[in-house]
Amino acid sequence: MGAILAGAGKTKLTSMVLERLLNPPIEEKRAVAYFYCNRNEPKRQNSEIILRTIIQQLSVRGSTGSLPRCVMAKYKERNKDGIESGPPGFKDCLSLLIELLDIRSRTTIVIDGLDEIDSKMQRQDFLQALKQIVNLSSSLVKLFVSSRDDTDITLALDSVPNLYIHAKDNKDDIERFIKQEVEKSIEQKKLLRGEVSNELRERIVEALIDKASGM
Amino acid sequence: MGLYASILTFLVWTRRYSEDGTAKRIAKNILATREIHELLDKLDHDEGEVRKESELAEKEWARFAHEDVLGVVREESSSLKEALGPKVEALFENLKEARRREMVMWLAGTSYVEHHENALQGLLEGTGEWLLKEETYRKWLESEQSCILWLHGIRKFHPKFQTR
Repeated sequence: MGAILAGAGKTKLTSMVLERLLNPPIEEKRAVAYFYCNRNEPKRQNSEIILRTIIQQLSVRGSTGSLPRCVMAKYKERNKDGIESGPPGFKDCLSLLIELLDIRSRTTIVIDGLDEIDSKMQRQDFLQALKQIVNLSSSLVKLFVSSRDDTDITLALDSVPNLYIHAKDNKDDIERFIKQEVEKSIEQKKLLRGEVSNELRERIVEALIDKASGM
Repeated sequence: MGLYASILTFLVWTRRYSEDGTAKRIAKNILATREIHELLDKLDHDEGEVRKESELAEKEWARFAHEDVLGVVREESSSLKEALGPKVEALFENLKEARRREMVMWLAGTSYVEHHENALQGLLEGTGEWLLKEETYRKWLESEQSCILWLHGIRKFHPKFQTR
């Protein structure tokens, strides 16, 4: 439960932020693209696929007809003389993404779970790419990323503004979550076949909160 | 019309000439030659006029015919356009759509919408309100400079908080 909650906490918070960004209170001219990394799915832990999915979102959204010129140009360049090349590689994706971002005046990109990107090398490339995106784009780009405190990520993002999730910050969130999950487990008869007295329920919740507060 | 009149005049004159007596004819001869010449000249002239007129008429007719044909062509093409237009347009749209799909396929991203929906599931009202109120978040959101915000943590005994 602790491990699930640890992942869920960041991801839940990220999804809440993303939901706000996708539905701004006032009509904003800001494109939003996002990606949820997941170490259990090969396609969701590959840095190249993450970039390609972000490019795809920014290319298809907002334009009903053709794709942006820079995407078509890259496609033509890569598929010369009708010879099919594979999908664009990491470097191509990065330059393409920076070109794409410059079409719009402001773009927000949300990426959850950087620590779930497979292999330290891919993670390192990806972290450097994020910095390049911010430094090289001539338009306004806001990146919201979340991850565990793994050393390589901490080193790479050492100098960027950050929000650390303190136990006290999300204590209420955790309590809410634990109570809800325990209720659900009892209702669905997953926990002790649903035969849980009120007292026992209280004790389970308390124990879980106690264990979680140190995270 | 002018030519017709000239011919008639010439015919009348020749008839009259042949009806006249021989003496008279001889007497008239000198005069007549001139008159004939004049008449023939006029005839010539009129013929020229007619040729010119007919040429003009021909050109005019050709022009009319041409315009007629053009009109017909125009009419036909517009009705053709009407009939084919939507089909051609649809074909063009299909082609564009196919090209678009081809390029999206080439980009070979993966699904993402359901991952957000899954993450949102069970999100309780009020969760994370504290984050939205954080100054660091507000600064990131409102900044007019490109920047990264890193949400991290949740690791036992590993507190780390730093400001810019």
